[in-house]
Amino acid sequence: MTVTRLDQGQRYRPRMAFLKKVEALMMEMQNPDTGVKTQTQTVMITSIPHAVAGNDISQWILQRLQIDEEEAVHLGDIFVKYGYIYPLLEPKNLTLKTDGSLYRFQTPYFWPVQGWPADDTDYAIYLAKKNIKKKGALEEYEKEHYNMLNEKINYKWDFVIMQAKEQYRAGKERNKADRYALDCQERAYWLVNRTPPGMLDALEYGLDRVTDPNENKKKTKDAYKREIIYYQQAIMKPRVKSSVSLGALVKYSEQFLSNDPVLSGCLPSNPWITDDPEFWDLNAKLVEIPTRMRVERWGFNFSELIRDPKGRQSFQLFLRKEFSGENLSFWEACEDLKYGDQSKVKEKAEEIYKLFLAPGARRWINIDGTTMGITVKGLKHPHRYVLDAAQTHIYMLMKKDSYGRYLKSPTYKEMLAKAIVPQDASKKSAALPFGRRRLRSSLSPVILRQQEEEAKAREAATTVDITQVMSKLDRRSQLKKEPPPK
Amino acid sequence: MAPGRGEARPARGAAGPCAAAQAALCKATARHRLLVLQLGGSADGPRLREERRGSSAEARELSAGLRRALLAGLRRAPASPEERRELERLWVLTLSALELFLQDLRRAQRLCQLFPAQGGGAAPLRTGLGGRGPPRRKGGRRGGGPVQPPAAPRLEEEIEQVMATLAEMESGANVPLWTVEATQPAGTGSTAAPGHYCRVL
Repeated sequence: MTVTRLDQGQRYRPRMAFLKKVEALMMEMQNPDTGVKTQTQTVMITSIPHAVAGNDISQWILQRLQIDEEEAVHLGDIFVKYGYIYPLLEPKNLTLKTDGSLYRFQTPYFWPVQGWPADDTDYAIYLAKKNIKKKGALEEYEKEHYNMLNEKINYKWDFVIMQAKEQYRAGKERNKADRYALDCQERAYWLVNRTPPGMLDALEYGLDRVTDPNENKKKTKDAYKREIIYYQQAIMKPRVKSSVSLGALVKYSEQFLSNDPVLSGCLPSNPWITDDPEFWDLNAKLVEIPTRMRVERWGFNFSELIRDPKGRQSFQLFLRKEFSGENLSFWEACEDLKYGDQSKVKEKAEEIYKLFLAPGARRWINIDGTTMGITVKGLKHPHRYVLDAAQTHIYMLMKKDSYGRYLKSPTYKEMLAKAIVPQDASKKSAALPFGRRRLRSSLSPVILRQQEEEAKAREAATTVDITQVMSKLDRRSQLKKEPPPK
Repeated sequence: MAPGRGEARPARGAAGPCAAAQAALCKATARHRLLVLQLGGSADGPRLREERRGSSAEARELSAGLRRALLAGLRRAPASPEERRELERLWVLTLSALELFLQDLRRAQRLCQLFPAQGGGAAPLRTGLGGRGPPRRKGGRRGGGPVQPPAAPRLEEEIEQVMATLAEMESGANVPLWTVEATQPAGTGSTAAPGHYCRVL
């Protein structure tokens, strides 16, 4: 009995439409009048009919399909690789040679079929047969397979051995020429379906698929309706011309070329080559003085600035001077909500609301009414993306408004001036191959994270945003207006 | 081997004739496979197809008998635990044989569709095997209409019969696969150290 595996639903072989096409051609090749002409192969004293020369095969394909020679040879080669034709003199060399090398057509029983992969049990029986015939002279990879199969299907091993013996005996009843041909056929089949190591497996298709290509979907009215909706939506999908998207890719590559450590080298030296970790030290997350390349990169676009922790730090300094520091803090808090510990989602969302969104909050962020409405409504059932709308709004605000000013600000310019350009130290280290460098290990990531958290907590506690003060003033003025004559 | 023998005997001797029947089934399936192998090839012909049908009938008969005998043996309280184990082993082997046989039947069905016995259709492949009267037809393909030989529907029936037998066996007795151990050794010689099948590549 065969045990079927549970494998997350991926158990169908993909469509193999080419098989049917090859089969059709194969059958045409057989036609005694219009097919490929045959010869007789002499093996020792027997002669076996129906051998074909490689040259004849490629010529026939050429004439039948009206293609040029190179393509015809390639196509014939594919036929050999898929196992429809097998070579007689060099069974393991599955290529089509356009000389007089002889081939023979494989029996249709051994043709590859989309629905049935080559079975393990069959292979085990074949190996067992070969074992009996040659008394243990299997090839290395065959021995490995044999042992592995013995373990895998041990419960039917008796059957395998019995069946192998019976098949061997049944084969012996045929005459010598037939037996030879049958052996050749079977060997060719397994060379294609269990390729020896080092040989190309032409039938390989990657992973099994989830959907069954042979399934006949019932064409109900509902199914048609769904198809129509699907295609309508597909038409409506926004599309970008490839010239535009490729142009953007080219622009990106040009801009970042100088920053790529593989393409443009890195200063002081590539640590993987010279064993000198200075590059990593100079580019640490929150290093005191960043490198010039890094600071210049912040000027490329806003996302470069905001994804670099040091950049964020510098940007935050600038924003505080402009009294809009709460924006970046809010953005960072939203990122933490999205990607941080999900078990504390509810508490985090509440804290963010109290700190940034509630009317009269300490660090109130300025977002428009609709977004605020959506956010507050969503906060009733908080999840990781509940603040997405507000976060996007603030991100766009920072990008369109503050970022431009930041790049012209003294904060940024100072950063740029202070930034260091490390010396090229790669040649130096190459000159001293025996120099023992004391390799100190970098700070443990756990400690680094703790430091970050402490810094964040300190910053949160001491920040006084102008809005806090302004809102207090506002309220006082409102109270003055309070006594209504109503 | 007459299939009915197993159930006539008392439980004590049930395993013996079953084993013999099992060996016969193996032989029949091997012979059937060899015949199906030649379908569509140069050895194909009406005689081959007749032989295949006969071999298939034999295999089916044997399997039906085996099924009855094994189920009867397993349902009855066996004489000894060894007897039980032996019956379970035979049960698994029979199932394996049936699966292989079913696979070959399906292949035969496909091949008979690709190379219908009657009429034009594709000329059988020149595979080098000496046939017994290879029917090489010239001319175009004739649609397989009413001239379709009775073999084709019978093949479907054969397949259904075997599938039914398999289903009955699988649901009839509750035999866990992993308890069955092989009695034959692996036998590849030098590289197979006993119990050490993982080689470091």
